[in-house]
Parts: sequence; C-alpha cells; structure tokens
Amino acid sequence: MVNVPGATHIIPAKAPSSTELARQLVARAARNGKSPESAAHSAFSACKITYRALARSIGVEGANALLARAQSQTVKTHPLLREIGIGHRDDDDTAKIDAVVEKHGIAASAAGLEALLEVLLTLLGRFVGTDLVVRLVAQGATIGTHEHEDTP
Amino acid sequence: MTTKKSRAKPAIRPPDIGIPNIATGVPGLDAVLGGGVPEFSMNLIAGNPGAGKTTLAQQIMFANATEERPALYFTVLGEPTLKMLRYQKEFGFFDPALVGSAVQYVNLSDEAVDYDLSVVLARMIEEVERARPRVVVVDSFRIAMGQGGAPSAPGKMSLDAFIQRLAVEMTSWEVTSFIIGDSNGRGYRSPMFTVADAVFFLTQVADRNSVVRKLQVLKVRGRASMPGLHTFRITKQGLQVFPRIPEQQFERRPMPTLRLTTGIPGLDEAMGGGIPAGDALMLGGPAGSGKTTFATQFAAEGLRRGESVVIVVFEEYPEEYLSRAKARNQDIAAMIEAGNFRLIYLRPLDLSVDETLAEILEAVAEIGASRVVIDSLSGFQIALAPAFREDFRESLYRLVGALTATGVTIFMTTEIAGGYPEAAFTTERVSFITDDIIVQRFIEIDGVLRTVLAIHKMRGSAHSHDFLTYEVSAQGAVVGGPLRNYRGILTGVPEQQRQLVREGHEGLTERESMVLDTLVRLGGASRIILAEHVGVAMEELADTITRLELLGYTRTTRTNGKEIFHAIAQSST
Repeated sequence: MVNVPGATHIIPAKAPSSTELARQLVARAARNGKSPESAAHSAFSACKITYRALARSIGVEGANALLARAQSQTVKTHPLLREIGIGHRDDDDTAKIDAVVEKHGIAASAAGLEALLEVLLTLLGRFVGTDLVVRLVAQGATIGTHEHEDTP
Repeated sequence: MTTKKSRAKPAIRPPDIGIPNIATGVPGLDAVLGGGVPEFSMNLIAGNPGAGKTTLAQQIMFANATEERPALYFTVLGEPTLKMLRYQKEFGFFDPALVGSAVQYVNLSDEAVDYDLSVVLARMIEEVERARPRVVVVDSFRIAMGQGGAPSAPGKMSLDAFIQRLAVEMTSWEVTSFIIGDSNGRGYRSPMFTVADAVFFLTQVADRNSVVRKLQVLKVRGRASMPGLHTFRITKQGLQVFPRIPEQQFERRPMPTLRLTTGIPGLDEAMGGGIPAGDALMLGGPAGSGKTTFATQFAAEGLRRGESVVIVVFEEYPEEYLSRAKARNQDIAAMIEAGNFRLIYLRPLDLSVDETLAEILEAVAEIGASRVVIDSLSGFQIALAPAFREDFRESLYRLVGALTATGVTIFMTTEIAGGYPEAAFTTERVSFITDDIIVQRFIEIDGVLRTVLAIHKMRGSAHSHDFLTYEVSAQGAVVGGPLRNYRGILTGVPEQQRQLVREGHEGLTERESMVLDTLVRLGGASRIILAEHVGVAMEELADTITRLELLGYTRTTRTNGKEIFHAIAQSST
C-alpha cells in the first residue's frame, strides 16, 4: 500500500527544473479546481498548495522566510505581487486575487504568480537540491493541507 | 570503512527474549544495545548540541522506513527543517527517493510556539493515525530537559503531562519512537529519562587538538546492553559506533597448539620452535635495530605459507612501507597481489582504540588473517587522541585481548628508549599484556657496533636465554648463535672472556663452525666435496651455507656452472 495516495504520480524519475515543476503544479491545480478557473486563479492555488506543503514539512517560519525572499526577488519584474498575500492562516485571500486579476488582467497576474512559484522552488532547491524539492512539495500537496486555522 | 547506500531494509531480528529487535542501521550500535532497539519502545537520544543526535535519529529512521510502514519525523523545536535537510542530505544513508513517501517530515514548531503542548500532541496523533508509521522521531525536546513539570501557562498542558501522554500514545500506536533532547547533562531528573525505555547519551569532548565523540547507553529495558562509553565517528556515511568490547571477544576461539615460523633464520630455534599460535609477541628495540625488518619477515613468511596477513602501520606511509618490504622480500609483491594481505594505515591524531580495533578486526575477518603485525606501538600511542593516550595500557590491553580472541598471532614492535637494564618498552609499562617479549639492542665490541637480541619472556614455552647475535642486511634479518664468550653485555660494552674462548666462531652453530673450518682448510669446495668432508648429506648443507653467506663468512663463485664455496678472511679478535 502506498501510504501517500497519489504521491508517486507527480514524482518523476528525473527531477524537473523549477520552471517545469512550477508549470506542472499550476496545471495540476487547474485540473483539481472545483470549477473552471482562470490561469491566474490556478497559479494562485498552486502557490498556496506549495506554500502549505512546505509549511507542513519545513515549518511555517521556514516557508514564510522562503516565500518572503521569493516575493522580494520577483516583485521587481512583477509589481502586482505586492498586492497579493499568501499566508498560512489567511484563507480569505480569494478576494485579493480576484481584485488583482480585475486590476492587472489574467495574463499578467498568472505570469507574476507562476514566476513567484518558480523562484520559490529555485530558492528551496538551492538549499536542499532539486530532487528533494519535488519530494517535499509532493508530500504536502498530496497528503492534503491541515487546516491550522481551525486550531485555537 | 564504508556503508553502502542501500534500499534494502534491515529485517526485524528474531526475538532473543520475547520482544523483537529493530536493527538500527548504525554499524556497531546493535552490538552495544544487546541486539538492537526493542520494537515499539520509546527511546530518548540525549546529548549536547552538535553531538550527533539528529544524525543518529535520521540514520535509524532511513534504515527502517518503508512505504508500507513509513517513518514520521516531527520537528517541534530544534534545528530548522530546511537547514537540517540541507545537511542530512549529505550523508550516505539519506535517500532522497524515500522522502515524501517512506520518510515524511512534519514541522510542528508553529504549534509549539503559538499554542500549547496539547495542540502539538493532537497534531502528532492525527499524523500518526493517518500514516501508520513504524518509526516516529520527535526533534527536539530541549525544553523538556530544562523545565519542570509546571504548565507553561494556566490551563495549558504541563510538560510532564505531555511526556506521559506521548509515551502512552506512542506505545498504543505500535511505533518505535525516538525523542531527541538537548541536554547539558543536568537533565537526568527530567521525566523523559524515567519514561523512556532506552536512553542514548551522546557527548563530544575536545581535548587539546582532538575531538572525541562518545555514546553511552544509559538504559535499555529488557536488554543486556554493553556498559561504558563507546566512541563513535561521524563520516560521510553517517555514524559508526566502535563498541568497547568487540563481539568477537565473547566468542573466544580455541587456540591450536601450533607454532608459527617467523621466517627469520635462527629465531624459531631460539624460541623453542617458533611463535605459539595465538600469542601476542612484542619486539622492542632502539631506533634502527631492525624491528620493522623482523616484522615484515614474519608477515612475508605467513604469506609464503599461504596464510593471510594484516599489517597495521602508523609511522610510515603505506607506499614507503611496502616498497621497503618488497626490497627485502622480493616475493612479497606477488603475494600481496594474491589478495590475502591487507595494509592498514592509521595516522590521524584523534584515533580511538576502539576505532583502530574495529578496523583491524574487520580486515582480519575479511581475509581470514592468521597473522597481524602492528608496527609500531609507539606510533599507535601517538596516533591516539590525547584522552586515550592517558589510558594507553588499558587501551592496549583491550586491543590485544580482542585480537588474540579471534585466534590471530600478533607481532608488535615498539621502540625502546634508554639503557638496556632499565629500558622501558613505552612510556607506559605494557609488557604484561604480551605473551612473548624479544628485546634487541646495540652493543660495542672492539669499536664495532653489533646487534644482539634476547628472549625475555615466552609464556608456557622453553626458549633460549642467551644473547643472540643477529644481522640485518638488504636480504633481511638472520639470527646467529649465542654471544657466550663475553661478559657485561648488559652494559653495552662487553668484554671478551679470553680464558673461555673455545675453538669455533662467534655466533655460529657447531655445524656452521665445522663448515667454515673446512672451507678455510680446503681454500674452497663444491657442495659435494664439502658434504663429504663435513660428513653430512648435501641437502642438509643448504641452510648452513645460506646463513654463512648472509653473515658474511663465505661467498660463492661459479666455475663451469658449478658452485664453489669460499671462506672470507675474518679479522681475528
């Protein structure tokens, strides 16, 4: 019995690059969306799932630190990211992404979020190696996130 | 020594006394634990920061994790997971392919900081129920070691209560758990020490320029663990523990009543037929007295007889040592190629005795060695970490005891400093550890530096009590006859007792003297003529002629393809 259902199907034999992995995660988020979403919403979901997977395995502090660094590097080329927050306990962020999409358009929002995800994965890869990035992201992504928000 | 990265998981060993053991995957640790970690036990890994606790836990976890029964690694408060993964990934046991499936990392530091321990416990239960792990690691309980049982805030779970609940939950989950705890050694009153089924305590001690890591198993419920402090080393492959008392010592091999030929002409006779198999022999002598030549000749003789040999060197680089040995024993190169020879080179200044012993025992087992040469004890003493040098006698006692228990015969060399009567083998008196002792020394006779040796001790065996002359040449060492006509040899400047001089030649056997006299008389002779005059069979002359030639008394020429032996003129005394 595979303990982590679905874990293996997103773990390829050869570790993909951060760009490839980011695209795969966005595509996966699009497939798993409850209703058809815009590319920007799928990219946002992929960022959130990845962030939560990392928070689970490396801790909230670690995930926050990586995300903050990724954001500071990406915001130069994608200033709209200043208006988007991806927080561990912030579940009510759909409104934020809706507003950003309305203001900057789907394509620009999706490009910014995908770039953010790519940089986040690159930074993580520099620490633990690309092979482990896939494993860590897959672990959290397929197990499902824990709703820490519900805890007191 | 290397531990290969392998996907194969150590199987649960058959139960010794009911509860099965889980193999740790850490070389040497299972022996210390009395077989392994009891299944479903709760184990505490405590120690100072940097002692190797996390690495030990990770190594055990990777050795036992499977997709069916994974391992969960909870980070509560400790090294940030990102950093931990970055460094642990460097070890050979860390298999990235297992991460995410067989090995899952769960970080609970957020809960531990923001909430109370009941939330941490609830998250653990949730994860364990989901994953059904075989192994759970909780890293770390620095807080547990220093605090008392008071709750951190009113209405919140106290640490004592948390530990108690954790122990109960872990047992009911049927997992083998490892709790990592930072401790400065003052935390023995922590409830964790009481609740845990096994406690591993890791320390790292810096002494002068060396660092020695030690592991102590404070307790293991239901197992007879090995007491004492066991050194360990962290290499690229992870931890390796060197048990104080190697397993072989528990299974002492019965000694055959054989004698081993030393390969040094004349020495076997003086020793009553060679070195008794299984003995530990110590050869002491001043610098340049030929100790290494004797030792390599002993090794080469073993190889020549088809035995397997291990040589441990501390002072010379292996290439130099071997090239010197090859120069003296031309056959040795070919025999080394045959694979029944290991040269162990140990030079670092932070070695532990247990580590050295493990390396030698491994080589002995690997090639089935019957002879071990340690060249030299003086170098060994220097190679040890200062902490072990202080206990050199005890260390050597353990080394020799463990090695002889395997049935090997040990030939050790050691440098002797000081004058003969008071000469000590090393700075520590270690002679009681050995079965046989041979001492070499320089003496001066008529302004010429000569070498003699004496057999000081042979347990349970008759041996020569004479001072025997010996020569070391490019061809090797040869032991001659007794130096009988002198007195005051111990002073280093003996005097000839002229009234006792008999016919014959100093240092030669009766037959050798007869052969030499015959050659002097005849002015040269072929083998057949010589045999006729001396009155022995031709084949019996071979050794005698070889020794006389090596000692410089005779030379051989060839005329029409026939060997002719001649005496070389000796200066009279």
